[in-house]
Amino acid sequence: MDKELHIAELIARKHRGELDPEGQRELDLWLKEDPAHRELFERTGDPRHQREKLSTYALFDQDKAASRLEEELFAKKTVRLNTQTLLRYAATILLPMLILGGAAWWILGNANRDLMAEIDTHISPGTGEAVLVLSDGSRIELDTLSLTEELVESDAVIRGADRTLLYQTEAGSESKKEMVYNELITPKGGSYQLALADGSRVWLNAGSSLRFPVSFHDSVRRIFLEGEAYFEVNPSTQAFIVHSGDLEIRVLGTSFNVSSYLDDAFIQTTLVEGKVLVRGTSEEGNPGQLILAPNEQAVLQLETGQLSSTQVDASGYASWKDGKLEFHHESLDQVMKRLSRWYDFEYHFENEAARQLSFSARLERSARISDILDMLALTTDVRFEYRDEKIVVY
Amino acid sequence: MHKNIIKHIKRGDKKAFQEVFDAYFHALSAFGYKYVPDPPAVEDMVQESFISFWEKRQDFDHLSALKSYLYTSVRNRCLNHIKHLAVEKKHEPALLYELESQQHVSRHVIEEETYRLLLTEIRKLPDASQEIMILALNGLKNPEIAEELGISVNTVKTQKKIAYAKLKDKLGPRMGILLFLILFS
Repeated sequence: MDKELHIAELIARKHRGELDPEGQRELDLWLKEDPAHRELFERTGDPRHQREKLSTYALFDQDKAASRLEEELFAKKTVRLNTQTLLRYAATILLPMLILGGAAWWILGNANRDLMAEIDTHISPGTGEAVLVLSDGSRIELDTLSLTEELVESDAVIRGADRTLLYQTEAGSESKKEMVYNELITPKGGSYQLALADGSRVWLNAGSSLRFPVSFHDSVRRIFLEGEAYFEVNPSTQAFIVHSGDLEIRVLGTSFNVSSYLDDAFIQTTLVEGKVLVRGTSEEGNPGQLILAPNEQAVLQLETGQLSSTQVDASGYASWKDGKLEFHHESLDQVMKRLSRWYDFEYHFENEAARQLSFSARLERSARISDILDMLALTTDVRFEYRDEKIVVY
Repeated sequence: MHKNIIKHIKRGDKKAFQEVFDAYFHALSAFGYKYVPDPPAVEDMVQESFISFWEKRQDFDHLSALKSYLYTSVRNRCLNHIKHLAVEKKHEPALLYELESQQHVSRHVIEEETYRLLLTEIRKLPDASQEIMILALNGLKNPEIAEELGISVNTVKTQKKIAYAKLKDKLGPRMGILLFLILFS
């Protein structure tokens, strides 16, 4: 890129009237190479374009960025470099580089390298696929291109585009009808979006299913979830209730994430915006109810039936819908479980103690599995191998 | 920036590092903005590029290597960002193909680096005179500038003098004269 930088220097000097004859000769040669070069030269000398560029510069606040950078680089001398911070550091800084390839070659230069490269040919990140089950039980495979034609269910029209299903109630259908339910199912490695008839939006994560009415006529809007989903509920006088296992979440208009997988020992509700009422509905015991404010998370422990809330950064729990993969002080046990849902693989812990190792990280959902496992192995004593189509943790 | 700045940075001199940041922040942002029209996202990528440069500062021996690294790093991050969006939204990869071409990046770098060299000083002016300079460079006359910004013609004249005084030392003779003509004609 030295040549480009040098040419820029010549052009700038020329515009300023400081170019010496030798530089002029070089610039002339370059200008003759391509009409686009001449155009670039004229453009950069034009005050109007210079002004435009200054307006672009004005979009970026240098002082703010400088203090942010300062904080990031120089203000953390007091932070102890334990596994947590190291991983966090590694995940935010090194992983993007890893994904870009190249620069961080030395991280990959361990014995596992070939093994890991092989993994990627077997295990890859999820995509957008799902199955829609209509009220008559018929199943429609939704691939990434989704529905090609409109469907009609009761008084609702279903359209699909761009990995989103859109339900709309047909105009003039005021009469009360029987509740008609559809179900959207994502396999491991799948994920899909849904706009319900009331305008509420639902992002369904991998390995999940959502049962919902095709249109809403009752005084309550009832949805049934298994797995993980992020809800943006359209405000309405009709209460919106999400049922999931032994939990009920009641809202008016709000955004929140629910994680309720059958193989997890808990149901986690994280509120991003608004207000929700979370209520345990198990018959034995009485887990009670909680009102959540933004950035609070309710966890229902399925074994004990205990319902409790904590303060969290809610965006971190909802970022999967934007293509992120975040872990917040989670055990390796949980990390592997979550990875296996998106990357769809089997795994086995040879080293039982490793299950309890704790991790925090922010990754891209499109990252290669080998990069993620390398990252985990880099910061702790665990080792991963790929054997008999299984990831084995040592 | 002087040639020795790299030595200072390698020794861990924060001031020298900040000097590079000051000189390149806007140019790299504008460069990234061409690929990704989303300022907060671009700011993050520029930020990450400076962070990774600082972490790897021992690997740099020349100022030009550092400049190349910064442009390349921002570009790679942008392409990665676009690819990610494309996967999500199923865009045609045609655009990407164009963006990845060597010719394309080469022109972008030349253009942004040229603007950087030309505008580096102007952008350091106080906001008030910078705004006036932008309008003056755009060919507006004093009364028009005054009206546009809702200030008096005298204020415009004063700010222009301040700007000219600050700029003429930094810019070469021809640009200085040009600037004088733009400002005081």
